[in-house]
Amino acid sequence: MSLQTDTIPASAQQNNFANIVNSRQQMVYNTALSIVQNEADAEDITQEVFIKVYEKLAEFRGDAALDTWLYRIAVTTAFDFLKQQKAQKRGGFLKRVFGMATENDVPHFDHPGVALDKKEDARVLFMAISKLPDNQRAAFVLNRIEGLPNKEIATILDITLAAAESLQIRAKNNLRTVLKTYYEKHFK
Amino acid sequence: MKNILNNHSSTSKKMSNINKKTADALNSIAGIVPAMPAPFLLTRLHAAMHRISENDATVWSKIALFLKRPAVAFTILLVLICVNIFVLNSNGFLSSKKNVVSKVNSNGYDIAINVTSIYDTENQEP
Repeated sequence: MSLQTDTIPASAQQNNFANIVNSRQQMVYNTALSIVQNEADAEDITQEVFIKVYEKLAEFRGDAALDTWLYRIAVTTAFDFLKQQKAQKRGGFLKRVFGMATENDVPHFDHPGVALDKKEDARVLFMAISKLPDNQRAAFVLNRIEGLPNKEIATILDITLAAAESLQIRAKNNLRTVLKTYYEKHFK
Repeated sequence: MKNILNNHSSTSKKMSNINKKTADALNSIAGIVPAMPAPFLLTRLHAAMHRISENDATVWSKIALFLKRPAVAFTILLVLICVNIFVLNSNGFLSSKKNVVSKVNSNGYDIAINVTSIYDTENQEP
């Protein structure tokens, strides 16, 4: 989708923005929700993403697809939010420096879009996803939850196609390891 | 021997269960339905942008916004009234009528004793 917003009058730009919000809110919210795994935080991130979009809409020349651009902003904003949240935790910095950070392996997040009979398994999977490194997490979420092909993921994350594929494989292997460790501990 | 075989079979059974659970967990998000944000996102966005534009305003508009607050406006009004009362009081405008009259009278007396009458001019002492 090509947007030449610098020549569009203000009212038309407002309409354009409203259309973008209405048509893409689900996409942005869902991406943010899968990354931060908290509905209230995902709402805040969605708002922040669209505010950034509004501010930068005039600069957007349509070199990339609108969806790709939105996904990139959503992923970056979500990870920035997580970094900020980690930094704000009391004593978080000292705990990280001295290696005292405790890993949270309690499944807590229920994605509202998961079928009822798969809720428990999905909860454990989301706990495992939260332990992945940022780039692997982004690649996995965009591929498995958003259903994007590796080529588009490569464009969003600004990496090569081979790197995107490699991220997918490493993410799946790491998830398998985390899940096995979890079930070995908790499954009788 | 039988115990060893039993242990081995239970371990392999457990491992296969764990593998099955892991596969189930990995496949649990297949066919996931996208979640929807709370309604009226656009309205909330407009409100958030309005708040941001208020925060980004110039120093003068920030001052104006601060003064526009009811609590601040009433406090300033009260202070102004108090200052006015103090000034009026210190100038004596708020003192009682009696005092004002006596002051006027005393002033009149002061003036009266300085008046030179015809009698005074005709009967001047040597």
